[in-house]
Order: sequence, then structure tokens, then C-alpha cells
Amino acid sequence: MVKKPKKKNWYRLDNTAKLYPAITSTQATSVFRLSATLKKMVEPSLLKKALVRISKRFPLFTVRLKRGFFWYYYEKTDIDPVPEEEKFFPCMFLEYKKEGFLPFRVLYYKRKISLEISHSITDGTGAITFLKSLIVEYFAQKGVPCDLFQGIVRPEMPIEDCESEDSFQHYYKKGLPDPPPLAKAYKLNYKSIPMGEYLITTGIVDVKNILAASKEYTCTVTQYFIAHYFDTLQDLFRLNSDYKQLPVVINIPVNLRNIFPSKTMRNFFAGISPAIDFRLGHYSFAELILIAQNYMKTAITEKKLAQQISYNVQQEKPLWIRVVPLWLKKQIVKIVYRNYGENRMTTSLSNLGDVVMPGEIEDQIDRFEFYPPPSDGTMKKVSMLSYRGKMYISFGSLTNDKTVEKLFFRKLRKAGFAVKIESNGV
Amino acid sequence: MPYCPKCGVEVDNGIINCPLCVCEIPQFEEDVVEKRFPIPENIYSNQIKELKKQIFISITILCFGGILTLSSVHFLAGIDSQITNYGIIGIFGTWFYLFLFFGYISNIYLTVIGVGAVSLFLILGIDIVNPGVTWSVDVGFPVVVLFTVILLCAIKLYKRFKRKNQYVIIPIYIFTWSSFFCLGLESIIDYNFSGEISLTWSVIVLIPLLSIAAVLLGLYINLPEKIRDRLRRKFHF
Ligand SMILES: [Zn+2]
Repeated sequence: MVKKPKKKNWYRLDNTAKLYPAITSTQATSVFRLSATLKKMVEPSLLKKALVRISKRFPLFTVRLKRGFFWYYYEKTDIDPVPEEEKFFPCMFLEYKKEGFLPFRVLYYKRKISLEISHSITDGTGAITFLKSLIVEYFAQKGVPCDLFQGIVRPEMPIEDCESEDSFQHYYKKGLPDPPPLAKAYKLNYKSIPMGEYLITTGIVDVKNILAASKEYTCTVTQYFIAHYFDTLQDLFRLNSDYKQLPVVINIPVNLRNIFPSKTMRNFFAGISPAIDFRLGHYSFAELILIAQNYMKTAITEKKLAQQISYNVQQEKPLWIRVVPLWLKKQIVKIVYRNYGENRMTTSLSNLGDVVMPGEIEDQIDRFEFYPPPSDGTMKKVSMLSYRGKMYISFGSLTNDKTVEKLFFRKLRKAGFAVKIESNGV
Repeated sequence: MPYCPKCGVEVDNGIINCPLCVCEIPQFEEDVVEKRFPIPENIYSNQIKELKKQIFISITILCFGGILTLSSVHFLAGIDSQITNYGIIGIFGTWFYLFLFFGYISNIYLTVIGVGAVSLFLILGIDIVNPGVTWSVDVGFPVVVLFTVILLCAIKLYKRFKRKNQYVIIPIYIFTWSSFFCLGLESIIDYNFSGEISLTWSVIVLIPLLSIAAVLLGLYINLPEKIRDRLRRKFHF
């Protein structure tokens, strides 16, 4: 008799994912939200059916975090996810170390379906694929099926091996020199709000106006917003002259799937960090655009990003690091991250790009939104995406002080864009 | 669509203050717009509830164990001592007190009445166990009832005349009601020991306490807004 090869029911955390269990706290939850608002009320029973069906197709997500002796690992579980009615603040802590909990949750509220997912499972690209596939399945349950469509996974599609690839390991090149170290960054010093709260301020602008403005400066939309965010922080830098004056650094996650041909559903991004030292004087908007443009052009190249990947992966390679017990490793990672990760960024800006849905249902979806994970190290982060000609720019804040948001959106208004503001304000 | 006059940004219908600058939004349309978010709850208050429940269950198990041990000592080993009886009564009382203090009865009046009832039970228990103690009915009952009634009145009145500036109102309350309590207490004790009521120390307590309360109240009502504001600022909690 031939023994059937047993299917592996656990997997290692990828390079970035290793960081998150160590730095996650009840306030800095490493949980981000992607949501879709439909034109009609969400039907919870259909959503539940769709979620169970689609989650079977994403076995990488239906797992439980377990402690090994040296590393955390993910173990498959048979729990069926159940959508819950939204009642808490967004992006709250996920108890994914506990039995019976998954590293993501699906929420509904009136016409809105939200996916909240831990960064230790996947990045924005993996999460939006999951949400889009869930929405398509939801409409299929409602009797509106869609044809096959780029970027959408159907429950009946076979699971490919490349989806669970750890692309960091795959594209890791041994022996590349380390990238130059980053300088300490200017920090936003605000009093934080109570644990369990998270404030979102979303500004909505027309994509065509932003595109027109970007065209004027011959830059991309992301570059335009980087320059705009730098300009906002420049104003703040002048306002808060009593803060420690250091270069302003914006951390920008880059989707590595655009550079390396990976189809992974796990994390595959790298952070790049444009920096400007406003102690040198006032920068005009044209200058800021130029800096953003030049930086992005040189940083988002295969060579530079391969260097970044190799540097990150190298950190976990040495034997003496691997044999440190998990509890000690966790403490070390925490300290290293605080000093070399968080301290080296003022804030972060993440652009998920344009979300496209199949023609059969795109009319039935009002909008998509993307909320950054709460971060006590930076206090504020911003993330954005666009859907059907509107750009949704969401600030996530752990402080009541909204000066940054105010400066940012008033500045957009001054630049001639019509802006609509919403918030989960209380 | 309404706009914030300061930021120049559009906001949803029905939004009262600008989400960016808290400036008031001029209202002119009456369409009610569907809410985009639920009124968010704090996830951690639920977790605290859960933790409280766990603590309470542990305490209950401990109490049960304690009673079981003491009962077996009493009935099986045949040791009939006052200590085991006190122990059983004490554990019962403690469990009920904790049940009330953990807020499992959401109605504050019922909680206060419950605390009174448990106290009565304890006093009675001590009386029954120890034949030497005889004051429970004569003194204990009236004192507990008096205290409970005064507390109930105080809470009722406090709720009715709730003011924002509790730093003045709360001391006034404590002073007033505790002086009444002293008055009642001395009457009960006096009546039981000498058969008639002649008040001495409670009056001495009553006069300064009530005067302080009156002065505070007078000051608070008549204080110019500026000083009141400063008081509020300095002593808010
Ligand atoms: Zn405003």
C-alpha cells in the first residue's frame, strides 16, 4: 500500500509577517480595513454564504497563529468565518492567537461590507483580492453572476501553488550590500486617545482633477500626493517649532508584484522612505514634486528593491538569530523595530490604486475605502484608493488633534479641488 | 450639499460640526442622510466585562469550596464551633456583597437595598450564632435601615438635581446626608440604652457639616461666573 502524502497543514510566516506578531499591541493592532459600500442594503445571510464559500478558496487566510519554539507559525483551521454587524471602532485588535479566532473579520453595516485583516497574513493587494472576490461571490449568491475577471478569484478555481509562495525568500539574492541606513525622523507628538478608539477622516476628490493636476507637473498621482503630504508636513513643521526638528520621512509601501512576477497572496511589499529636511528652508510645491518624482524613479527599480528584500531577509538568516527562543526574539524585534523602523518614519502613505470590478456588478457598488492600521509610533497614517472616478483618501489617527488632516484637505481645496469630508467622529 | 465655511469642504447632510475644524456647519437642507458608521462602541469595555465575569466565577468557586469545607467540618467531623458558623455566614455575605458591588444588578436602588439586606442577614447571623450578642434587632436593624433609606433618598435627589459641576455638589451631598445619618444613629443608640432620646454629639457634628454645606452651596450659586469657571478649571475631575 502506498501512503498518501499528508498535506502540510502549517506554514512559516513570511519575512514581513514575522515582524507583526512582535510589534502588535492592543492599540497598534496591525489590522487594516478595506470596505465596499453597495447601492443596496447588505443581506447578512447571503454574505455569510458567500464568505464561507470564498474563504475555502483562501486557505492561507483561515489559519491560527501558533507559537513554535523559535518562530511563530500558522496552522490551518476548519473554522468557518461568520460576518458580524459592525459596532466597534475600525481596525480593532484581532485575537488571532486564541482558539476559534481568525486573522481577519468581515463586518457589515447598512450598505457597507468591510474586511479587517491582520498584516501578518497579507498586504493590501492580497486583501483587496479577497474582498473583491467576496463581493463577486456575494452578487453570485444574489443571482448576479459575473464572467471571469482579472484580479477576482472564484471559489471553483483551483488553488495554485504560487499563491502561497513566500516571495521574499524566492527573490532573495545572497551577498548584496546593505542599503544605506536611514536617519531619525521628525515625529508627530500628540496625546493619544483611549485604547479601543480609532479616528478616521476620509476626503473624497475627483480622480480626473487629480490626474489633470498631475499631468501639469508630469508626475503620477502617487507622486502628486507624496508632494502634497510633504507640503502639509512642511506647514506643520513650521507650526510646531517646539518639536524636535528632524527630517520629515514618509514611508511608502511599494507593491513588489509590479516589479517581480509574483502571484502570492501573502505579504509582498517593501517600504521606501523619501525624506526632506525642512530645516534647510521652504520648499515650493514644484520642488516637492521634483523630489518625490526623482526619489520614486530611483527607489522603485528592480535593483534597489532587490537590495531591500535581501537586506530584510538577511536579518533572519544567521543561525544565532534563528536559535534565539521566540519570547526573547519577540522582545529584541520590538526594540529593533522601535529604533530602526518606527523612529525612521514620520508617517506613512499607501496608495492601493484603482479598484476595478466586473462590468456586471460595478454599478451596484457605490465605493471602496481603505483604512490604514492604527500606529502608536506615527499617530497618523494615510491610505487611499480610487473607484469609478473618485479618490478616497483616509487618515487613520490615534489622536484627537486633526491639524494634519485639516492642513492636508484645506490645501487640496486651495489647489482648486472640490473635497468632501467624512469621518467616524464621535 | 452643506459646506464648512472655514475649510471649504463639502460634508454630509445632517453633520453638525466640520470633521476637520469643528466649525459649525450651516444647515439648510432637511434630507436625512443614511449614517455611514454605527455609533462606535469601545471594544475594550466588553473585554473588561468578560474579565469581571471570569473573576466573579473564580470567586464563586472559591466561596463554594470554602462553604463545602466548613460544612463538612461541621457536619461530618461533628465539630460545632462558632468559628465554622461565622465562616459560613461570612462567606455567604461576602459573595452577595461582591455580587452587588460588581454591578450585576444594574438598578442602583436595588443594589443599595440589596447591600442593606445582606448587612441585615449578617447581623442576624452573628446574633443567632452567638447567644451573647443580642443587639441585632434593637440596634443593628434600625441603623441599617436608616442608612439604606438615607442613601436611597440621597441618590434619588442627586439624580433629580444632577448638575455638571460635581466637585461642589458632591461634598454638599456628603455633608448633608451624613449629618442626618448621625442624627438618626444617635437617636437609635440613645433610645436603646437609656430609653429616651437626648441628642449630644450628633448635633455637634450636624452644625458644622450643615454650615459648610450651606456655605458651599451659597458660594456656588452666588459666585460670579468668572470665579466659578476658575474653580471648575482647577478642580475638575
Ligand atoms: Zn472645517
